[in-house]
Order: sequence, then structure tokens, then C-alpha cells
Amino acid sequence: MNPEQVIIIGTGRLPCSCLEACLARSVPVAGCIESGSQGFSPLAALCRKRGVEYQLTLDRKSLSQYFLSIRRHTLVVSAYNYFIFPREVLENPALNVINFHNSLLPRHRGRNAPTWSIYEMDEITGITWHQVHPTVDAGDVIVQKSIAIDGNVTALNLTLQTLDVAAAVFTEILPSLLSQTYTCTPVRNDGNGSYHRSTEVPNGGVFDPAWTIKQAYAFLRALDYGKFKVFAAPKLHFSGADWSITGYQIRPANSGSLEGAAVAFQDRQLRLRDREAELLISCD
Amino acid sequence: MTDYLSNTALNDIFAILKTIRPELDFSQSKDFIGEGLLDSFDVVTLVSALDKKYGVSIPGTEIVPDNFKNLEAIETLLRKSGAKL
Repeated sequence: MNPEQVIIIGTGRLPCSCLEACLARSVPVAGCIESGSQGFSPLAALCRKRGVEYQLTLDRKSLSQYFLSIRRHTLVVSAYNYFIFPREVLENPALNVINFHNSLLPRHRGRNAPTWSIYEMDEITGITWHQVHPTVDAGDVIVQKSIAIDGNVTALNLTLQTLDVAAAVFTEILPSLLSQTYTCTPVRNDGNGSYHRSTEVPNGGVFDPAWTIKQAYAFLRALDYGKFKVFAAPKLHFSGADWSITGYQIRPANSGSLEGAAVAFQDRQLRLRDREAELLISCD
Repeated sequence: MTDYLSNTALNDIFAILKTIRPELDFSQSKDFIGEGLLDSFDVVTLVSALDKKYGVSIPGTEIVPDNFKNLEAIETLLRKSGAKL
């Protein structure tokens, strides 16, 4: 049965884009729910402006009860949302729950997918809109779209790219979601799947001076969410001392005379250099 | 709202905001956060750009809505962080 209404749950710019897409098609939006917020809520502002009901709910039990109470056929759009839908909610026959994930599933299921895409030096990542399944990020795929990973991109910038692509793709698939004419495909089990917990950090958050510059630079970019404290500052153990990494910069090497990577530490700065590039890492 | 900011600083901050959200008109807003013009990702991107532009390091603890609600708030934050405007 086609949905009679839409509920959007998420935080940041993506649920706003989804709401705008729905309103542009005169889709009845029963409400928007923010399940997490750092005090910046464009979704709350947009709901106020467009007269859509908004609620900020951090309590998982209340959210579950709310979704369990719904009887009208509802498309639930989970758009950058940290609430994990329990099995009992997903078994409510009135609900069709779809979710955005910021990778090409089954690659990098779980949290901080852009981090893992960069750290593992994937050349391609992307976005997935999929049906929500009790197993996290394991539901059937509605649509995927690839994004080429730039060799200098940080986790923050890649996250933003995935959000922009996800918004555009949602607008494209919305008519088929509303008419229930879309088709799903099971997640490919090609051996490349992986799952990352929120507490998991690449290499335990420790920089390895023995890495190639390419891997070292990927590690630093993978943990770089600007001033968002998604992870603690990367650590460095060098010559018997422990350091926190506070910044980094890569530049072309002045001379191509080196055969292997050279490592030097001076004035709180670790310098890695090979034939092509020099990576300067500030420590404290 | 912009009495204390030089035109150059004003234009620089507007230019940075425009880079981050080109589709929005910040000059017409009195409350960038309350009106939903910036989300947390935008603010972190703005902070990085301000750090670079003004040679400061705005502490992560200062990334709160009140410090980014308008140009005056951003100016106060920059001065507090040591920027010469």
C-alpha cells in the first residue's frame, strides 16, 4: 500500500533536503524528529518555517513507543540518524523504513564510514539508500551512487559530499518511494563487507612512522573531522616519547634523490619524506 | 550589527560563508543558527576557514550556536581567539 504520510528522522542538512523534496511534491509530512543534535538544528528552523511538526527526542524508548503507535501507512525516512530501529518497530506493518548510509554497502557498515573509506584507501565510495533491517546497514538496497575519492579529501569533506549526493538521490527516488514502484536488491555478499563500531579507530588512533607517506597521509585525513571531536587526536610514539598530533601538511618533495622514506623529528614536528612528497606533522 | 567590523573583514566573512553555503543569502539573516542557515558541519568548516584566514586556532569548546549566530558573534569570537580584524 502506498504511504499516506512521511516521517523524517535525522539531523543536519540531509533531513532538511528530504523535507524540502517532500514538500515540493506536496507529500503529507506528519513530522520531523531529531534524534541527536549539537545545538545546531537547521531541521528545527525549517520545520518552524514550513509549519511542520518537529520534535527533538533523545530517548530511545520514547522513540520506539512513538513508532509502535503509528497506524497510518507511513514512509519513515532515516536521514543521518543515530537511532537504531528495534526489530519490534520494524515489525509494525504500518511502517516502511528506509535509511541513508554513507558508503556503498556492504562496504563499511556501521559508524564513520568516510573515515574507513579514506583509511583503507578506497578509490570509490558512495551512498546507499536501503530498507532498514534489524541488522544494522544490512537491509536490501534501493539505490546506490558512487563517489570518487579525491586523494586529498578529509573525513569531514567526504562526509559532506555523501550528504549532498544522498539529498540529490533522495529527490530522484521519492516518486517511486511514494508509489511503491521501486525495486530492492539484497546487499551483495562479495567478501568486501565490514562493520565498524563507533568506538573503533583506524590503527587504534596511533600513527605509525613506518608507514609509507601515502598510508600516513590517508590515516591523518581519515581522522580529520576538523574541530569535531569524532575521535581523540591521533597519537604518536617516537623515540621513547608520546605525542598528540595537532596538524599536518603535505607538499611536493623538493628533491627526488631519496630512495626510501626518510623520517626525522625536530622541534615538535615529524617529517616524512620520500621521492615525491613531504609530510609535515605537528605534535604536542 | 556590523558597526565594529571593517568592511574588509565583513566581506571576508561573508565570502567564506558564501563558499560554504553558496545557495544562501547570509546578508538577509539576523540569526544564522536560529534560521537554520548553518548546521554543525557548516560551522566546523567555517571555523577551519576562519583559523586559516586569520591565523588563529578557535578552540573546539567555542563551537556553540551563540558564537555563530551572526557577524557580531563571529567577530567577538575571532577577537577572543586573537584575530586582528
